[in-house]
Amino acid sequence: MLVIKDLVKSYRNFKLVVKSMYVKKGSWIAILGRNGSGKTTLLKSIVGIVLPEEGCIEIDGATVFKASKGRIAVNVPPGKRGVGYVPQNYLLYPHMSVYENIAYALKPLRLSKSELMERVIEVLELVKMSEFKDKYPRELSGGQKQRIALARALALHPKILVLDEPFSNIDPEFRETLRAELKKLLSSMNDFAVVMATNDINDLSIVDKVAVLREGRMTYLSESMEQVKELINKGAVF
Amino acid sequence: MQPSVWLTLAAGTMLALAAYIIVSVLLSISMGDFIRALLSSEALFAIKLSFATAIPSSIIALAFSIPLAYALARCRFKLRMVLDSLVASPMSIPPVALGTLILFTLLKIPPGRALNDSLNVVYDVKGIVLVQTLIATSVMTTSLKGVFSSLEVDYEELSRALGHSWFSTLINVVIPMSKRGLLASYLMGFLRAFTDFGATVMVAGATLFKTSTLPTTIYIAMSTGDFALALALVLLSIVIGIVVIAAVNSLWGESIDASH
Repeated sequence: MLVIKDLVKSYRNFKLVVKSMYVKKGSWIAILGRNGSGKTTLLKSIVGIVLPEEGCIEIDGATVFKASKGRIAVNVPPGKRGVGYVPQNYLLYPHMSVYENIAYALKPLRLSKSELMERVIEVLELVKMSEFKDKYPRELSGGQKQRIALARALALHPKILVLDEPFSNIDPEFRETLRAELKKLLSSMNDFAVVMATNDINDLSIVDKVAVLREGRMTYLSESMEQVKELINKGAVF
Repeated sequence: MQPSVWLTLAAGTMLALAAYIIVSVLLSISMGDFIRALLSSEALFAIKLSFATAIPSSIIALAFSIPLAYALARCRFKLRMVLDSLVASPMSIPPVALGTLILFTLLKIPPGRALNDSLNVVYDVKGIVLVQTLIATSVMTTSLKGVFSSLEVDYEELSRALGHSWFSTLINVVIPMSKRGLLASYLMGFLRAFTDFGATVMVAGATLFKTSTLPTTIYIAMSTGDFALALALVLLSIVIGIVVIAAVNSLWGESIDASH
């Protein structure tokens, strides 16, 4: 379970404030907002790449980040938070093969060579990309890159899976298929919480809960898609 | 006038000027004299010494430049601007002034004097290596800072998010992703070290068969009236320069293509 309390992160002309947010294990939340609303900053704070000035982040009951008035009391390093991260452009390393990209993610875990190989093969099978293990990112389509980026995040056996606009680089006609595939795959695993940033209302069809971010403020948190659609129609989201 | 006309005019003038100089040099020396001069013991010593010093100097410089350039490109610290200017200063001051500074440091300032007393740097080949290393570090760091800055920082952030240290990120992500720019920066630093005269002659002197690098030998040959030797080495320098610059340009081109 992910719990966020009183999170504040300021930049020169922007301030992200999240009073309270929680996501239960097995459930999927969408952070909905336009570009520049603070979605990526919130995700990066969960991953540990961005350090907020205030607030608390708990993952499965353990505090991974705690700060008050700019003084950081707890800061578990990014690789040790139990968070799997799929960045916006997937960011597969172009000089590494598919296999090497996933193995690189596992390297800090100091697994034995056979364990590492087993784990890479396991996630490649899971995303149905085993035959692509020796390919390089330049040889893959957008959808295939997304699956590899997902496999890289899942290989870490995360407690929280963070997806930053996972469908934004996919051709619109393939998005619906990929949404359904992703939902099916992650539902079958069911042992982590998923946090997904998006600015596409069609992505809401696969989530259980929606949080609306507007100009850095979390203005709404709901499990009712009807209410969210009403808000969108009123112009209270974008 | 159209910009393309200006471009053609400027490029044409530059090419004509370069061709005129090279042809004049070629016409002023016979092929026999050229080969004899090129195979003379002075020329062979100069070529050998230049490579024997510029190769290790540029490798040492690269080892300093990579972390320095990475820190300047990615880290925000108080004295960054000062450090940045300091690193670039060997390129911005006259080589003779740089040589004077190094010589003064080695002879008058206690830590430098101690180094010189124990290693005999001044008027020695070690002095050439020291000068070339400083110059190449300056060139490579400035160039590499641009290479590292142009990399998408998200790749490095992701590496850190996966639990890799900054050193592991540098070795596994930054260096492989900028290998063409890295090689081009290395070649630029190597060429600058290889061709230095002013700073080298101040620190290492110009003693034939001891500290006579290629540029130093050209200077000695001109001052003793051995024009065949001087011109042969000038032509050789031009060829080396053109080959290295062509390699650098091709690597930069590929590096830019790869980043798009």
